[in-house]
Amino acid sequence: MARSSTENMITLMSSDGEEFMVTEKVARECTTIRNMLEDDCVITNIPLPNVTSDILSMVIEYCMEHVAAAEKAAAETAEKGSSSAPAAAKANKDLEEWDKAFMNVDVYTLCDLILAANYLNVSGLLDLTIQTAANLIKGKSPEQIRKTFHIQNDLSLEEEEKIRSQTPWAFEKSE
Amino acid sequence: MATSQSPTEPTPIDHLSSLPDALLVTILSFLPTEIAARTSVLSRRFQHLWKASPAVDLAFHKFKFQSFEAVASGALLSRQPSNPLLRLHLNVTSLIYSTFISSLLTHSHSLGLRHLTLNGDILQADDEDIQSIVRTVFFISSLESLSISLDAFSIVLPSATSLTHLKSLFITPPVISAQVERLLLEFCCLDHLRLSELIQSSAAMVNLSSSTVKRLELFAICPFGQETCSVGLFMPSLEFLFLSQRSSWPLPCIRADIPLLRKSVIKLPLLRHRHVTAVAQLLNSITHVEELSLDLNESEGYPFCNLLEPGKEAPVFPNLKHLDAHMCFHELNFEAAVSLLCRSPALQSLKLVHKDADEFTSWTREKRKMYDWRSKLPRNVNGNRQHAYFSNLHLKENNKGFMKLLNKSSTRKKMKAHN
Repeated sequence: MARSSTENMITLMSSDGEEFMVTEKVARECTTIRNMLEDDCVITNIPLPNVTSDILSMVIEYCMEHVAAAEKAAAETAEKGSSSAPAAAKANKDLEEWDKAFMNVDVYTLCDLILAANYLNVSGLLDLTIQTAANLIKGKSPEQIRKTFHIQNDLSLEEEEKIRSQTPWAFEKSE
Repeated sequence: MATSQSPTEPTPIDHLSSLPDALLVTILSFLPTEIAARTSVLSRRFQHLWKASPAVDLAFHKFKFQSFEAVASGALLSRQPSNPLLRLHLNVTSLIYSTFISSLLTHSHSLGLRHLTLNGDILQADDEDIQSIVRTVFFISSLESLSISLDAFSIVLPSATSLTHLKSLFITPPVISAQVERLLLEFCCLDHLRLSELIQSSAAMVNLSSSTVKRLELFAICPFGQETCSVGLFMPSLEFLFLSQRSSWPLPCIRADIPLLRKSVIKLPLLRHRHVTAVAQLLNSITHVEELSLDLNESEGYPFCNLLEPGKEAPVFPNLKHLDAHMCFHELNFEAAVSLLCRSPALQSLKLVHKDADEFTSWTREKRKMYDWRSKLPRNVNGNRQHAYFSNLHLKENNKGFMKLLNKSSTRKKMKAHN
């Protein structure tokens, strides 16, 4: 699985001017970049003014892990004819575990990752981050949700009561 | 209740609110509707966001009986066509009137619903009630995918439908074959069909025809009367076939015209000697597959060959690349498997897994010498005969072990012939 030296390298530049060299294959995980590459195939330096270096390095980490997992599965299929079902299931589970560990971030980083995944159009990462944000909302009272995401409540008590009375079923204690 | 920040601490930045509305709505669309609606009191900005979610997910059993109508009107019926509904997931209970459920479905239709999942327990509901719900569902012309997993004794499929855009159809309750046959002709672009239980409606052969279906999954086929039933599959686009059968029912006889089939998964429980013709016929109609997965369970007091009719030759599998077979590899099955492998010139990988006597048949097996049931697979790297894996068979240098496997059987045959 040695990286071939002929593989195209792309430089991605974050909003704060940091440069990241990645293989074209990894860069192509971002649909936004893939489209740029397809429009203009000689492009090698891509500025990303909406993404900070911390977040960009995380997005690249995610893309590299998923590219490596896909390459490993493909290599196994080529080597063994077909990757056996249990092995493929284990590889999937490993990647899921990796995703889960990767999502162990604070809500600021999570929100920045959602924005970056949306801007760069990395569908797997977008689904993962959105699902993680949704899970943070589940099973919480409005007050707990506000606390989790540091949401400023700009509603008066009367307004809040009025909204609650419109959908009382949303505030029932579910068993 | 009020959120008071201590004056000495800087106010933490509200990052979630920095996301554009479209992304917040996407987050809310991943949640059950009552939880999404709970966010309406978070702040002024969140007040109406949940109503813009393209998905509604309501599990009525979670609410108090009195609030069903309030939930439905707040979450669904008050929605305007300017705010399209793409996905609807309804979990219903027997307590809800069918007319009420139908009204929700009709309204969803007017909102351009594309994906519908209807779950729940309606076993106590009136037959006519269930049918009126089903009829409504089959006229939501905007649907692209439909999954009905109601707990019902069976459902009657309508003879006509306006589901001309439907791509995938999953039905869990038992359905009558004649109704499925008729309905299949109505769809123009159905791609994926999954039926949990197909009931043969008369002694006549079941004929499932579709020019568009690529994936077919049949989990059980209930025969008409005691005899086995014949099922014809006329699906020129079919690429994937899953077939299994409930253990107490006889094996269906499959006659298939499925020239594009590439992958098949066959799981058969409690095979008896009299089923062998059906198994052989099934194998004969899928000989052009590239991937085949077999899971067979024997249920006779003596070992018999599961794959081939006695005296008949194994069919040729010209394209078979990957075979995965789970069965009792006693001598007869082992030899049948080897003769099948000899006729699979394109084979690349092979996985044979021995299944010991299961709980259903162990009592009958005690009558025989256990030796007869022992695995005849070659000893593997772990020193047992439970499984044999071979890969890269298309590369000549890798297939020594495989050739040995093929020869093992033929030497045994020769020895037998000498004796």
